[in-house]
Amino acid sequence: MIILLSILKYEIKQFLRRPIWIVLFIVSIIFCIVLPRENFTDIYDLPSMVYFVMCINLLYLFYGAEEARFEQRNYLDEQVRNLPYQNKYRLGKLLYWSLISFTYYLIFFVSILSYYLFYLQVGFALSTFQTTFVYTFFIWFIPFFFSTIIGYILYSLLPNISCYLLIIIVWFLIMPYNSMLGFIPTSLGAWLINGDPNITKVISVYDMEIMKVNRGYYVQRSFMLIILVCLYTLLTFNLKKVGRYSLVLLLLFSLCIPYFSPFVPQINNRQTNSNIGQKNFFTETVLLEKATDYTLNNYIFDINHHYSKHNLSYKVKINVSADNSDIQLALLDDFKVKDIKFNNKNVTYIHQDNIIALSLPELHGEITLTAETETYDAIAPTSYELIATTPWYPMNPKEALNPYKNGNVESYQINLSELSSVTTNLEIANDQKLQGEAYGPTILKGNYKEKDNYLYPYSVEIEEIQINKERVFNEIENINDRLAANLAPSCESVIVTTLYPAFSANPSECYLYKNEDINQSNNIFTNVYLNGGDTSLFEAIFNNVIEHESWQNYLKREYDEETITRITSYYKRLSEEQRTQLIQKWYKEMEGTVSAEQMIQDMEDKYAEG
Amino acid sequence: MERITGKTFCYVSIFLIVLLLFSITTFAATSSATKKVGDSSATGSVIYATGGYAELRADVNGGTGTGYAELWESKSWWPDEELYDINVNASNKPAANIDYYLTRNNGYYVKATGDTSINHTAKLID
Amino acid sequence: MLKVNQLSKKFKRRIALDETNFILENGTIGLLGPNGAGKTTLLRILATYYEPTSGSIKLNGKDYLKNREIIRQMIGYMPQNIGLFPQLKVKEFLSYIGLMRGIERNDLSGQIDKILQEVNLDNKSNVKITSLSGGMKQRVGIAQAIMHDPQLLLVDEPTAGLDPEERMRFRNLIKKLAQNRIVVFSTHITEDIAMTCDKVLLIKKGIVSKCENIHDVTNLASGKVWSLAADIEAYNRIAADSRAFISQVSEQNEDQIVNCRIIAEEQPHPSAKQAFPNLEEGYMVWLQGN
Repeated sequence: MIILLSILKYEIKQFLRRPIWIVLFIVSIIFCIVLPRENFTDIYDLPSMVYFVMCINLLYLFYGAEEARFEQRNYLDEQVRNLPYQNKYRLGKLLYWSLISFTYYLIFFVSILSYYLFYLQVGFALSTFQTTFVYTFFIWFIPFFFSTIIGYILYSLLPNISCYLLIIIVWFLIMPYNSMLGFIPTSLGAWLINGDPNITKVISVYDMEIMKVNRGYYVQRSFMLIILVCLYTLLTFNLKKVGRYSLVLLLLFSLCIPYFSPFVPQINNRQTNSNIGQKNFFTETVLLEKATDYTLNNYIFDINHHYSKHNLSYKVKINVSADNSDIQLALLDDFKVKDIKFNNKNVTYIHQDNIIALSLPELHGEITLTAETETYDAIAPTSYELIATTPWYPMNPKEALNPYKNGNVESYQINLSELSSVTTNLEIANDQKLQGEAYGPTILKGNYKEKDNYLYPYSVEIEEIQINKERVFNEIENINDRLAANLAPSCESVIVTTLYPAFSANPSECYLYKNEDINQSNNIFTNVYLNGGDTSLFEAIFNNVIEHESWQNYLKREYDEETITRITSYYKRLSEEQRTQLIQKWYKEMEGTVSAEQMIQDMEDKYAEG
Repeated sequence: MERITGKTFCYVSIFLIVLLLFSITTFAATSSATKKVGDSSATGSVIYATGGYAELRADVNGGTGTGYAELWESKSWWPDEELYDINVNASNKPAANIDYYLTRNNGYYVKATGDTSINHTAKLID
Repeated sequence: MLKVNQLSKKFKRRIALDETNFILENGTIGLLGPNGAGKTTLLRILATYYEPTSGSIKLNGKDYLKNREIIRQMIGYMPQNIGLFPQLKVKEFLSYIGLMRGIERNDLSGQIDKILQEVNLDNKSNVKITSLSGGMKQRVGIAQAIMHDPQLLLVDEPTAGLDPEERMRFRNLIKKLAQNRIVVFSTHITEDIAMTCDKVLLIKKGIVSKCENIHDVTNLASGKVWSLAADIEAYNRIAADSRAFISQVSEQNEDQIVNCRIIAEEQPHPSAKQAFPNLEEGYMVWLQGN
């Protein structure tokens, strides 16, 4: 121990007497704070420093290479290799590099925190500090240290100027750049990464979700540590044959870790996740009246949420009572169906375009469906939002299209793998199950507050929600006026979402998106007022976009030239009032599912009326 | 073994770092982005908002499948942030729009993404 | 006593050292051979830097293979290119190496002062190594190799690049150090050997042969060295003759006569007279003979 401390002492002395690195390190810290200073708004922004952290890693790769070059220039290997404590010297070097990178990290981290605390005067809780510290420790400090070792190893293996080129290539591959550009597949890249494996934003009720270090990080960093220390030891230590072979075995063994580790460092992969814009249930499949004429009840769920990724799986049993054997169920494509059984016997099914089509052997019985997802955006590693109005679970497509008009009350019983921090519209029974009757099950995992029938994320103020709700009601009022309708969602309870970014409602609950920056009139219109079927012409007229190029192109595919010309020209000739009258008629009589022929006929009549 | 002096090394590393930082902030073309059939995405140029609502819209120009108009906030030195997106579908929803309140004086731009079989445009109209 | 038995070293297919056997006692042993003969390889094996491919080495009864760490404490090694930490001061460097040699911290300071005096660097103890001259660096190199009073001192081509005064000083130091230990002194400069060594190990193409004293080497050229005062014509003829090797030349400008020493089996010129050989000539005969 004393020898190691002495090694540190002499190495630090040498470091301090070579000021080029001190200057480069200090300048890099100043650059990293001064250049992006306008972007610093909250402590949650730290992951956004990724470009700077990548640059610092490059600096450390060069530093490691320079350490190896320094040793070679000064013939130190031959000098120390015959010393009795040469292995301690090599171990001391590792400690010294960790000390240098840790000191750098500490100065960097404290400088940024000080900038937040004293210059921007952003306060934060102790738990926030802890999360930030753990995150930066794993994403900043450890990569800096690893980069030094990597640089040293690379220069030791390729001791000439081309090594620097190799370092840049390696840097591109093992930095988050790979997540952005995908030079190597991200599933492998996440294991080789020496930085943040989750460069894309993880939306969650927690602002700091992306900074929560999961078990995958620990496994990945240990994996890297084993590989780097093995390589370094093989290169520099005096080892007996047994030691050398053991290290090679350990190296080979550790290379297999990614194949059998249940934990993964990468929690988010933008390329495979569903688009955030999957707001309304949507399908191109023709829904058949017969196939949707059934009832579902007595849902019994077993739900498992896995921390490592956006993983959630469940098994659900549902009582079905149908009039026809061929039925269609709504379930988002993000939820991959593993199997479906009817009365414990496998049945064949097709799941595509958010619809499951299956043929029931009998008209009444129990469907058992197993599904899992890795791509549904509303599931984050430590939180999720499963809301009643979205078909994350099998439901009637009619209800999925318009949960406000077509929602039915069903009974639910849900077993969750983890009940802590769960909020629900069901009751939490004594045996730690969720159960009750509702239009659909809503399960929110995360930090939510509840007040006056409002359920909302901890970071949102109730006043903001009230303003947002008012805006939605204003929109509804405007649409009611235009359609001469009088829909009025009761919003007995209001649930504010962070992951599901749109307004939706069933007869008893309203779901608001927390971001008040979005005016969602279109979304409200389609989600609350329209009732399935082909309403595209009606929507175009309602939104006053029928003459728009995109609609004209669309019409060209569906209708002949004459039909299009007639719709467009009549539309142009009608007054604003006449248009409104027609819109109201089509809504009242057909809920918007007006055909082109009917539209032309009605327009002609309206125009003739004068 | 070729030798690199400390000075040269210092210049090279600083040059690389500066090059990297500059390369991060470069972007492409216009305030609207048209993604042609076969492309995976297209990016519009950055426009600067002064606060207020801007219309984000997506229009299908041809092809089949689903497309997205994504609204992004541009940040110098930092990764850009996706704020919202809307989707369009060639089969029955050829256009979509939303009004988004652009609160900050930052730059915003659009990206048209989606199926490679769809040809569509993403626009941000300030 | 250093006992080397059937020692071999191969680098891939190339044999760097071939089944070498010798026994060395205290004293200075010169390791003489041309460039690339295997001198550094042998020293590196003796210094534990390389592991031999086969064979065994024992130092004072301790086997290299079984007691590697103990052996490392028993040897001092000054490589051809001395590994120095340029930013450390002389005293700091020696302390650092001393620690890695396992010298007790309490003894270290006194030991270093003593060694610095021995190598005549006591006035440079607080000077950074980077500011020292080549000769001084060599002395720091020898200081780090002897600071723990090793039983075997290995010195690889230490006089290359030294000025005559430094070289002289260095030879004296080596001689002094050899009083109570084995010093193996590798060089290709015969003068170094002649001035410092008692015994010689001759090495060529990885093959080592031992001579008990310097005269054994010198005697290899006995009867084969001739001195001649030749005119230019005769000199050129001898120089072109493959059977003769001119080992020394000095020119007398006035009458175009060249004084030279020639190594040859037979009298190279009617006027050539037999001369007493020196070490270099003995070494040359050995080189050509093998």
